[in-house]
Amino acid sequence: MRQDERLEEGALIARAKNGDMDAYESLVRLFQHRIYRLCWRMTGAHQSADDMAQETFIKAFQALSRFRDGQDFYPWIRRIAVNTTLNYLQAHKREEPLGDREPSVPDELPQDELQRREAEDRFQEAWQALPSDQRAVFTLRVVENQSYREIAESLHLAPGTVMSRLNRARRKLKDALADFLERRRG
Amino acid sequence: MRHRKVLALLGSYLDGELDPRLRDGIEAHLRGCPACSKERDALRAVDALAANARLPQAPPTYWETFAGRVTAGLRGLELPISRKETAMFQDSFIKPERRTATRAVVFPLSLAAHAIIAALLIIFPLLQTGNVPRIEITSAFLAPPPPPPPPPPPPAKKASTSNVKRIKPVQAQTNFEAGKLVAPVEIPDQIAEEQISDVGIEGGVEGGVEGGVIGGVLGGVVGGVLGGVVGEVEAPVRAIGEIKPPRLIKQVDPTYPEIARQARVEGIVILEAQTDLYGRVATMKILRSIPLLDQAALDAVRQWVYEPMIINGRPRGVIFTVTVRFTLK
Repeated sequence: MRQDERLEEGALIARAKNGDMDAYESLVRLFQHRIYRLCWRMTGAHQSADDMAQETFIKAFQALSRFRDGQDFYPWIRRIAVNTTLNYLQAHKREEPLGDREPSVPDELPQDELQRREAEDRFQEAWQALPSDQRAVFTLRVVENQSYREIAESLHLAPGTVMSRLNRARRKLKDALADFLERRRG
Repeated sequence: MRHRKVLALLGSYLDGELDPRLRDGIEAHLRGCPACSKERDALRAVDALAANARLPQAPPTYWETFAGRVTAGLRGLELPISRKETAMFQDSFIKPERRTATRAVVFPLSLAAHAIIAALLIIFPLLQTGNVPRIEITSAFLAPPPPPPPPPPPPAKKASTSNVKRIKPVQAQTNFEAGKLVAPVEIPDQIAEEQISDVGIEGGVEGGVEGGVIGGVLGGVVGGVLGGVVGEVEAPVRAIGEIKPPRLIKQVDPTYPEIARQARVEGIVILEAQTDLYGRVATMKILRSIPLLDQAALDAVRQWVYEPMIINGRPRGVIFTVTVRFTLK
């Protein structure tokens, strides 16, 4: 993160803490993409991701007084986002995830693009089949690049649980995509 | 290192979370094991797919309005919660989940209140048996016609000479003179057959009774019957008309039979009681019966004592009706 961005972030947080809504709106703009993506990966649907991202920022504003100055804002709000989304997913466990259906792929796309899209579709399918807790751990590890210890702290889990969930998630994804991976290698 | 252990640790190996000793062991194994190397490559490919997964392309307007919607939501939260919820749920049957703690307290209280009301409505009236409306019995009981008046008292005993004055001497009126035959004036149309009485005195009365004994023994038997009639008990009188029922001296309340109480039987038992010379109840007869209550009435009345009835200076038994009322309290 660049220095000026960091300074801007700190200033915005300080103003938002004093109830400045405009400052908080600017702060939201700084992080909205990252938080939305994180939520989207965990929920797999635009509507839920949007709801969770909105809720994350609202909760963050309400908890802003507990934010320690000098701390990085993203890890702090990421933790809120992950827990908010996990709670939501736990509460809506039985509901079929409302996956976003992309329009069917036109035939005139180049071969590479077709393959890439197929890979993504296959991955999405396998990804949606994962249990939400495994999806959360896997997202934090592979996408957010957090260490086991950080994941364990933010999800209030034992490091051993993080490891076993990651292993299970990887194995399931690998099994679901085995034929596809084989074909690509061959 | 075994395959199984390697496979279990491969993920952590890829994540760089293993301590150096384990990591070196796995690397050594991977060098000599194509199967495990293949597995590692597959896991790497999965990670790469996840990291490079295409993200949805939200329209640009979405990002322009996102922050504004967040702050609008925050400003909305500052509204009173009740107003917000009223607006949101006014058309819904689903109530918002709140005030659970209040309900946790109110619910047992509500249960208790319902139980108390139920007790008041059901159990309390059951205990209050006295409030059952009492049915007044209006039917009258007619005693059987009185027996003919008792025969006149026998001649006073010698001992009670003072009472003799009460008896008026009656002058017997006779149409004939004793010892003189009188020819009939008219010839009767019919001659009634002589009624031969079986009760006649066997052998007849020697010399016959001249003129018969009409009107009894005039003036009584002078000197009376010596010693009187020992143990003579005069027939009891019925308390009708002039003769009032005797005054009750000792009354014993009947005990309400438990079975009748449980069956909630109540009413009036009417007895005909007869007192002896001393006013004690001697015999009883039930005139109006309530099967469950009869015995209790009899048991109680048997112990009652009345003022002895003196008629013509002599104690007499009295027959009268006694009403025993049973009411539940």
